[in-house]
Amino acid sequence: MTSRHFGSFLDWSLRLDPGDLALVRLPDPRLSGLLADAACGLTEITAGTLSFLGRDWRRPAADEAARLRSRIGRVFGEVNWIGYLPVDESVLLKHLHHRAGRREDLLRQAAELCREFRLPGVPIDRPNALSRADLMRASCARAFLGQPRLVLLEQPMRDLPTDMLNPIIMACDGLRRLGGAVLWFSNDTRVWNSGGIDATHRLAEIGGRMTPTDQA
Amino acid sequence: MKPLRFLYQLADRTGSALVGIFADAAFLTGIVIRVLYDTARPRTWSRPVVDEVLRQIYYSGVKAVSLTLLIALLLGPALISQMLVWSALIGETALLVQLMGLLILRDFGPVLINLIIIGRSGMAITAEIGTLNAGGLTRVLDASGVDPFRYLVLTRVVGCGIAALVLTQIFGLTLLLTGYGFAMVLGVANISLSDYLAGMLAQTTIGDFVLILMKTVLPAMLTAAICCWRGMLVTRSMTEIARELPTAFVLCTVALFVCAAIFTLAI
Repeated sequence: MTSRHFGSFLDWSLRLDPGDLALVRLPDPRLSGLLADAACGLTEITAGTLSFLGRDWRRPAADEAARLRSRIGRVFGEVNWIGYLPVDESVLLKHLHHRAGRREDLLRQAAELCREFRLPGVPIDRPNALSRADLMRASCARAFLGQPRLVLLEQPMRDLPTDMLNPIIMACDGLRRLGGAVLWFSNDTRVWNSGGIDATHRLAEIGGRMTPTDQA
Repeated sequence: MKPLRFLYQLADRTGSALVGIFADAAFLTGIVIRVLYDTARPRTWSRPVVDEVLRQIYYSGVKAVSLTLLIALLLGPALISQMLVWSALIGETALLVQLMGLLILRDFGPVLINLIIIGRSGMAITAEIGTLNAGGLTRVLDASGVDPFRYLVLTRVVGCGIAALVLTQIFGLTLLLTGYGFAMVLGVANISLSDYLAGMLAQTTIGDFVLILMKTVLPAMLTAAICCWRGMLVTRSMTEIARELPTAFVLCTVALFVCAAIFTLAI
């Protein structure tokens, strides 16, 4: 795909099959948001195609597009919590909105994920009562909740200590075993140097193109 | 040449302003129509949407009950005082009480309640939506598959409509009872409460009920729609909210009085 939003930047081609994990390094971390938006069908492209689960993002009607997006988990790069909603409500929001399960079941699953990400349970406070690290842990739990088909991780280690890398890798591996795919944007050397990430693609933006790389 | 250029400029500006007004009115009408369309679809009513409507009813309705009661309690005696002045001139005290009650229920009540909605809830909605939009959270909702229109706009429009309807009933009933009570205290009420209420009901037609409903609910829905719209225009920084608040207030007030005039003339 090529997008005018990125100027001369992206002429990018990437296909993720079930079980794939792509680790992507970008010169400007903010670009990860734009690319993640593209993966969600929220970016207008000037050439090429963008598709998810075999559906071209330009085709579906609004309701269908929303349903498809609900199958994508995402750790957003910027502020991503609605201030007046308790964190647990935000975590369950899209699943309840799309009636993807009973509230009790989703809450139980969310609590398990939160514990995997070293939180005592699903936070019930409002976002401004939590630290940035705890919000990022809850953000990870939200992204992996409900067995998404694709998870987009935008610099997830940004506010987290190194010991959180392993839980994220384990969550990715669990999802991949269930047929999900992961697109992980990171410029963090802890991530690139980690031996635990069994990525099927390692890409970096070099000279305006996405190029396979092994370098951190 | 100069007068001709002035005329061109005048025509250009007047035309642009008129086109702008009609475009804004069409946009708002579109929002309300889509709200009504989505409201009728069962698919819209997911748990978070219901929760958000209830939250809006709480903030616009429940939290405004005390202010509504206070105004009604203060206006009751004023109503009776006015009635005494007019009855001294005209006579027919009972009829006057009923007519003034109807006037307040039909015309004054809906306008007053909608002014409360504009001041208390409308401005809060503009600030809330503006903050969410400037913070990129409407895009986050969209990226998560949660339709921002249904979750943020529809819920506030429906919530404000329901809150206004309930507040108008509370206002009207409190005002009538307070007025009657004050008249009893002064010893000027020469009919029983049941006769008073039955007499008022007898003066009320189906058209009055429709009028009260339309004059109450539609302006409140328009208020929420306008405030959501102005909030969505806040895209870069929170300081833009300060610019949008007065615009939202003026537009809501104009919409309220235009609606009141149209419905009063139409029914």
